[in-house]
Amino acid sequence: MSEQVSSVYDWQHIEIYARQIIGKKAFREVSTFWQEKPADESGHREKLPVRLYIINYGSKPAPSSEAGYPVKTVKLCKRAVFPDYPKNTVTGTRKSRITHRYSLVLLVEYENGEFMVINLPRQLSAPGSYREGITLAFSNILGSDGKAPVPQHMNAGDISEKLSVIPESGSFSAFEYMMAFPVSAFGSGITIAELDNPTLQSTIILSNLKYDSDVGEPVLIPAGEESFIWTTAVDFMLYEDIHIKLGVDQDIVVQGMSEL
Amino acid sequence: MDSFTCPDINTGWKPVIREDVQDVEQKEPLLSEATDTIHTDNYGTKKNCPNISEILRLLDETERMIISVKRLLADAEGMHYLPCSAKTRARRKLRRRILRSMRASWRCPSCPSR
Repeated sequence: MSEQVSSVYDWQHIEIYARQIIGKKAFREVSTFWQEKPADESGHREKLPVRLYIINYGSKPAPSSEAGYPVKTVKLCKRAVFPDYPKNTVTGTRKSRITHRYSLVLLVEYENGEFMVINLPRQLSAPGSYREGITLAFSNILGSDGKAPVPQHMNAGDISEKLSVIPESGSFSAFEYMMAFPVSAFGSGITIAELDNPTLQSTIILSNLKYDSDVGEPVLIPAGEESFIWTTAVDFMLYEDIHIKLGVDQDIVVQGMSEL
Repeated sequence: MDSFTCPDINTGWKPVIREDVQDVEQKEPLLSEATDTIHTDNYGTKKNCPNISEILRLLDETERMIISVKRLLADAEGMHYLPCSAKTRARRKLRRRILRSMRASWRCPSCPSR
């Protein structure tokens, strides 16, 4: 039986819906958890690992605190990304801003063989602001009053980055990483008309998560009210690849026959 | 560096959030100061207007004049309650006269027939 060939006269207008990618950008090994090194004389800033002071096993706040058992290793257990994040904002100054909120779960092993799970930033406090039953680590990315975060900034060329901690009813719920860069970085000459297109959408992919943890020396940290607590300094940094695409909806009309 | 095995996070396609307000810290320049920038319409096409700098200068002048008149009116309202010195009154009277003469002498450069 021969296959029936349709004539061009039988062709129809077929409307196909598609998403046209108008620009994409990949940022490789971006540090999304860092601490800012104060600018030197030339104004050059640098990203440093966040220095965490993890409380030693068995150490309690006291005027002459017991040293306890220092930290042996720190491993990343989980990085929990908040619902609806990361998200992309196009600003009035023609910049694209990626906002990313997450929390970290660390597995800490002590010199005595004990383990502890730490949830950051929920169990993080500023030095001198120890909270009984909550605090398991200290960091200077929180203000000395223990209530307000100290945002970390980094500007390199056209790209500006910020890391902050989101307060929530007397505690901290998430780390917030923001990166802003000019729309021109998408590299395909996006026009104003395309940016104003009501169907403009974006997709963000976070991949290849890596971390660095470097366990340092024991440090005596003020816990508040003339009491101190023994901790271990741990330098911790996160890296990941960030891919972002911008697209608009297109209706394409073709001539042909539908198989259905 | 330790790699951490976790699934990639893919947000999927989502509408872009638009933030139309410019940075608060960024001060808006006077219109005449913005003549060096490339003016484009909504479709990214360059505008070509030879009289733009003159028009913008006049707009700035008008804007300053409006501010001055507003201040003058505010001062005049306050006079009933806060009497000022004869010197201040004379200065205001002079300013009013200058403004009147400026308004009378102003002609639109784009309309030579007027």
